[in-house]
Amino acid sequence: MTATSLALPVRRPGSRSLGILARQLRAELRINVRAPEFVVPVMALPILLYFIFGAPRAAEPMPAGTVGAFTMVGFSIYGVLNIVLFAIGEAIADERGRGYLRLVRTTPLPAWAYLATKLALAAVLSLLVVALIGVAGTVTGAGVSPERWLAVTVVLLAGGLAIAPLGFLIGFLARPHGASAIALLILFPLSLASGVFMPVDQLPGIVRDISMLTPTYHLAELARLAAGFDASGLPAAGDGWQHVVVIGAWSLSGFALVALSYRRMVARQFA
Amino acid sequence: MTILIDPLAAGVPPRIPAAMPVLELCGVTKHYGTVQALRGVDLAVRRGEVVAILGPNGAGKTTAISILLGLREPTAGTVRVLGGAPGDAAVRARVGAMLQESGVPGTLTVAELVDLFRGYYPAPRPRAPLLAAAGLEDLADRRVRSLSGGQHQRLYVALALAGDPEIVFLDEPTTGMDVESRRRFWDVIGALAANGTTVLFATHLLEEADALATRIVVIDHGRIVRDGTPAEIKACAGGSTIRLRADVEPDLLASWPGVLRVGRSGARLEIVAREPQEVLRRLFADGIHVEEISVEEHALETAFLDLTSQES
Repeated sequence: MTATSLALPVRRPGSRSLGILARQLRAELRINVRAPEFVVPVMALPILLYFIFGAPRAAEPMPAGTVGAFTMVGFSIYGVLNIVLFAIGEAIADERGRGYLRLVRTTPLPAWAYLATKLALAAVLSLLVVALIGVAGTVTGAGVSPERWLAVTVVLLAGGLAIAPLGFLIGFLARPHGASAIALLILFPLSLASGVFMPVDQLPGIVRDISMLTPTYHLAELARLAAGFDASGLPAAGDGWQHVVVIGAWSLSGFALVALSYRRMVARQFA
Repeated sequence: MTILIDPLAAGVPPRIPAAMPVLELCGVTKHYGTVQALRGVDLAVRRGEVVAILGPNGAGKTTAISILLGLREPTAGTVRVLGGAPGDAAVRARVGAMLQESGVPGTLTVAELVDLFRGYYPAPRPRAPLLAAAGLEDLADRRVRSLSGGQHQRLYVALALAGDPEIVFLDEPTTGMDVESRRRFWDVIGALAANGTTVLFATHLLEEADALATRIVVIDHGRIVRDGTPAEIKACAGGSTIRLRADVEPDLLASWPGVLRVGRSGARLEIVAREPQEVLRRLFADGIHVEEISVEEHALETAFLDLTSQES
């Protein structure tokens, strides 16, 4: 008996975890990319917005960079935020509401793998949207060099990870039917605070002050820095460490809240 | 990082001796706030048994299955499944579940979803026989959202069997199925049982319990009220309903031995009794005037109502 038990293959944990993640991610990509109700508003809209607001004046110069480059960065941030809120937040709330999460919990799939896949999915989709906006910018003559856009992409991917707690909190706490409304209610002000629709320093005083406290404002500043300009389109100054610190603080407290809310969700649904 | 899927890592013995129960509830109670869903349930199931948990809605069937699957924690009592705690990944690798509502992703195809679930288990069933066992062989390339209700239920069966489980839990599996789907579904469960898989399913249909189970556990108001073979359950629930017009107080009849219940049906009395001839003999012997007599032997569903109403 013991001999047979010992003869059972013991797989290397590392490779097995990666295998689980890869399979989950492939399934998640299929699930999302095949759903027009996800692809159109979340994936296509930021690119469409660039074509409406950025492309017609793409090559027009600003004190630093071009109108095209400025709007490319703005709608990329909008795209990443959109993905975090919907591909993580709304999707988890929906799977919770439909009872799918319950079924998955009866399988040996570890909870961390389910959650890590959502994060990986958000990263892949963000990469796709930012890359497509990069292509759109090049085609329309926004004049952003590949090196600069790569830097912006790296900042936005790291930033997307940092603001991922927003998605998880919606996923764990929102009522399934209310999740997309809540996501929209967060999307609009945070986009405004990042200067997606107008430069932040043109916002009314109190709104501007509040905006400058949000993680997405600092993420946007960091992304613009990588592109070579600031929120007003002037040449970028400073090294951006203050933005990294603010985003990091938000992110750490965000992930701590995620851990608490996860426990609360499990306790409410499964205890 | 430790992967708990490996049975050795979690210390769960690969096989349990045949005489030992593969699942066990001891004094399990469950409260949701002030609602008592289970009030002291003891149950042991041996390998290869096909057990029906039979009871009306709200009896505690879903709660019992949720606890056995580790989806919910009991308020008190102990639960063992395959010698381990039900929530352990090592235990989950060896059981399968079909729940009441599981909105699976509609944009995947049947084959893709089945493969996704197969990937969760250390030793999954091969896809083709799995689809065949669930009656899905012709639907492998269909998008999940285009399936009919009955096909959805069969897909859930395939997902429950994906890991080649030793125990299968099914919560009201035939709800919403038409007669044809239900019969097909019963065949699938029959084949599982013939194969030696332990099956535990919840149902509120005595007919279904009778058709599939080797053992019926009747549960009501969170307690087990009967536990036996289908034949025993039907025998102890036997009896008939006598309908008649008579000039007699219902309360008097209800006090007679062998009378389970007395009610009214229009102008006639309805007497539920174990031995109808005994009641009729006494009515005649006491000189009570009776007319419009009819005697009806209980159908299975009425028998089941008798069992559970005794507790309330």
